[in-house]
Amino acid sequence: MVRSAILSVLLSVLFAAGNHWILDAQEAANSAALSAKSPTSTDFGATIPIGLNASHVIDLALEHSYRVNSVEAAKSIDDLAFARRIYLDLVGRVPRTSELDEFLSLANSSKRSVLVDRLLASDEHAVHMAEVYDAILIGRTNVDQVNKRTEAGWLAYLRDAVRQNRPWNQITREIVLARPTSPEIRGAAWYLYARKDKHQDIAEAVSKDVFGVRIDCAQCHDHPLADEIKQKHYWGLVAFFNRSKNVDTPQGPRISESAIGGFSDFANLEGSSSPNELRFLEDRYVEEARPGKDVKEEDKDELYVSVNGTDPRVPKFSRREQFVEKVLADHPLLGKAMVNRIWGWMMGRGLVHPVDSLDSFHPASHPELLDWLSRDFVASGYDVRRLIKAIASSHSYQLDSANTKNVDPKWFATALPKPLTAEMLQRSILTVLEPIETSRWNTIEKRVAFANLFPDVLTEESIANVAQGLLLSNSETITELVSMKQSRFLQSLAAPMETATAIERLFVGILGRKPDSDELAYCKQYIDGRIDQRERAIEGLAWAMITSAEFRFNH
Amino acid sequence: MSHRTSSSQPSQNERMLNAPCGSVDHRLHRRLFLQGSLAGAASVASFQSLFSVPAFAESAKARGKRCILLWLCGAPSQFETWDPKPGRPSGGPFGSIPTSIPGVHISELMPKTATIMDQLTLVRSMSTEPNEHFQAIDMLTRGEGPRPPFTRPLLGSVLAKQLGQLDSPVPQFVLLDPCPEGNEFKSFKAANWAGWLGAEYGPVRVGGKYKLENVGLPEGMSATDHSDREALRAFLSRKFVNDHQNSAVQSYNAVFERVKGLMQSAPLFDLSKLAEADRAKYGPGTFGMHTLLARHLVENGSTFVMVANGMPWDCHVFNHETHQMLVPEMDRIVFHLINDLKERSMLDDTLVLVMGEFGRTPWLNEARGRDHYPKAWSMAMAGCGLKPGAVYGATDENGVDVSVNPINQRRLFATIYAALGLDPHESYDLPGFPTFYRVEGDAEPISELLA
Repeated sequence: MVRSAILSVLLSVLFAAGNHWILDAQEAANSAALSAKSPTSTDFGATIPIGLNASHVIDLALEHSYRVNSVEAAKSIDDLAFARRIYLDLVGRVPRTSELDEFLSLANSSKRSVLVDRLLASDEHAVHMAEVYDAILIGRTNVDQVNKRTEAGWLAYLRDAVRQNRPWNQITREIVLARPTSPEIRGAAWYLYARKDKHQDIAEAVSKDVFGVRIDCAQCHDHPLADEIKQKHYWGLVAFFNRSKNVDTPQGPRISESAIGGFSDFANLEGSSSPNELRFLEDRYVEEARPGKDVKEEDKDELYVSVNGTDPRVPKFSRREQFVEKVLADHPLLGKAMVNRIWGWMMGRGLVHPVDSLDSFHPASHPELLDWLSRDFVASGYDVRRLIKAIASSHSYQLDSANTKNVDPKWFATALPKPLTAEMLQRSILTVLEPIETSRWNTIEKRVAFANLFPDVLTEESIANVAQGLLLSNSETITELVSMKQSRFLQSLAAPMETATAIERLFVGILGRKPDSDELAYCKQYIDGRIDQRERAIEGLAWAMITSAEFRFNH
Repeated sequence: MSHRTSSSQPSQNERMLNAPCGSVDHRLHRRLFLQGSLAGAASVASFQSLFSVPAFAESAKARGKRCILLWLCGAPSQFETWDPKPGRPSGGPFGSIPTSIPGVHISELMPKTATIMDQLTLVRSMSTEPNEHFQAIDMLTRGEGPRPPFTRPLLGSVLAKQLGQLDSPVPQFVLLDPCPEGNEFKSFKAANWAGWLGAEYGPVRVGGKYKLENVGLPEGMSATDHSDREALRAFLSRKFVNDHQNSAVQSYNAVFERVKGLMQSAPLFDLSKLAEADRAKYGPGTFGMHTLLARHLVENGSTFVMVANGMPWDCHVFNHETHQMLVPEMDRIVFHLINDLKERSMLDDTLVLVMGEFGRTPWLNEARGRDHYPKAWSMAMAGCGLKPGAVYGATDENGVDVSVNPINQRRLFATIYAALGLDPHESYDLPGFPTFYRVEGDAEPISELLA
């Protein structure tokens, strides 16, 4: 009731705003053609007031697009399916049977919302999201580097940031400025430090991670497909960082900055060159006097402010500081990129897809919605947890994932299956099997090996390779893990019981659902046909479930 | 007014691809029909039931053609390889030497290959557009730029499909590459290789330690138990996979179908089983060992093997020194590969491609490197259906522009397909979606190069 009242208010706003959402498909196509050159969306986003319930705005926008494009939305999921989905998204593992039972037993009509809040506040959420951010911001790596990231406090920094729900603009500021002022955020410096003084790598990472734009190909020329991305932006962004240098201090890794140098020219393919001024997208420009051609700059103490202790000195004119103050601070892409990324994380695909391509060549599927959510996110003080809650509470998030008609995923008419990240898959396997020697399976080496074999996090497309199939089929790790010897869960099924009971417990314990009659019959035949090897048959069944696509995906 | 939630994305995507040819000629061509329940949403680029007109596919299969691609990732310099310009400002420090084709010179860094140039087929007039690795690699391995949401299969996937046998235990498309890292090539490797053909036509990737991991039966498990267990997995997955028409789900499920075949053919990947003399000849470097493995795989039934080696050729710094290291190794490897294939009477059925994603600039940058240069570059081929000793196209005296017969990636792909006995103008037909051609834009093979 409340919801429909809000919808009608919204609809009246929409009409007042000029019917932008009330277009038929033909009109939509025409206006798309007209607007193809313009990267900015309509002023529509600006006309819907922020402060409305974001979940309802999401639902309204998607429902409208279903209508316009004549697609039918899937039905809503039940509590069991919701619990699996939200546990995986927010804490990175499937729910335990006990957790499912508890959730199902609640009669409270707002229990889904209560669960979302509880998971968001949990320590597991901080650990899980820190892993996700680490994979996005720095990437998969080897054991040695994981140890270095840990020592440098990077992983702890990310966990604290999620635990305290620190505003996203503050987090990005800290990692890009890389000048930690207190021990609590010392790990923030690792984001730049990990790039080993490669300033182009830094620029490419900052552009992708903070602004959601890939500028890599503007290194040699203006972006051929997205007109707004110029070569001067690439070299401009590099220039903000090209006075920076990794240094090791008693407090850990730090990034120094010189007060001089970093002036050069970049050449385009035609051979004409331009100075690398401090510039970035949306005409952000920081003025800085360039020394004359033959002037040799002198690196004098008076160019620096004094700092305490052993931290590297800070130039009075710091390019990194200028960057966070004048480019990053209120940049429109800052909020938009994070909204699109969180949307992609929760919904399986960005409103702009792939998520790090917020450029004019990749129009959003729902531009007005993206604009509105971005404004709402900024107005909330870049509150990530609130954004996640808004998406998780929407009707749109809670749709069934079955897509037998092959509807274009960009309409979000069904939930999209999301491959579990390596960490999520590993943690889920451990959750359902309850191994006796937990610590043996959860070593850094095992986690890294797994992460490198299943590296995808929010990629454009997830394509499995046969090495994954071989590992899951034949590796010692999986074979030992899915065994009576190691798994408490499987041991609990070794006791004498009806075959059907054992099968049902396996389904509930691993897939979080009951078997249908075909499945029950097939599995019964499988186990009863191995009456003298019942334990091995149960292991085989557990393996088949753990390696099934149903387990591999969040759906 | 700006409403872009429309099902028809205008102009921007289209400018990636010329309008498909609608000529009567082409409509009368045999078409590759897409069938089955999956047809209908190209955004989910996994159409598993593509088939060609059987007679045509059979005739190609009967001839048992296959292909080895030596992928020089990062892009070598044409000046230090196939198109030297000694004495010119662009020429660099290395001289040129005569070859077994009268009047044709190549870089002095390639003395062995020079003696078998009459076996090779050279194109010196490659002229393409993309200037960045990722886009160029993508285009030069698929034959066409992207047209979202459709993903064109790689050359290797097309050949695995058209020339290979899916039920063969030997993998039809193998990518040998030791480096999981390697900037743009890494992104490329994470991409969707098989595109609309479906994940089963994607490559088996091996590298580094040269052999596949986890190919033996788990301890204490019989082959029968292993198959039964897999059958159970397939059964339990069936409903979920059918209900989720999604490329990620389909591709995950498809890999399990290949596990058994790979377990059977695992010994093929074990380099230690190959003759010591061969290993000495090609080795010790990874590139050579992988090329040897490629030869061994096609001898044993693989259709397409792509040998890559990270991205070593991207010489933005110290171009000459780097080429001085890399080219002689390539020279030796190409020489032995061609000789071995010929010795085994395989060269007539095996197409060898030696290329990168573009060329390098005629001028040096401040770091004495050569930067990316797609405008005028070279590539070499040999074997199967090509005219040995043919040299096609030329660049001007400084190698700045193509002066004779410019060739883009479409014509190159048309030539490759024609050499392998495949019709370049076949179309992929999908109800409600644009018609795609094996090679777009009516591009004709280079007839001068076809035997």
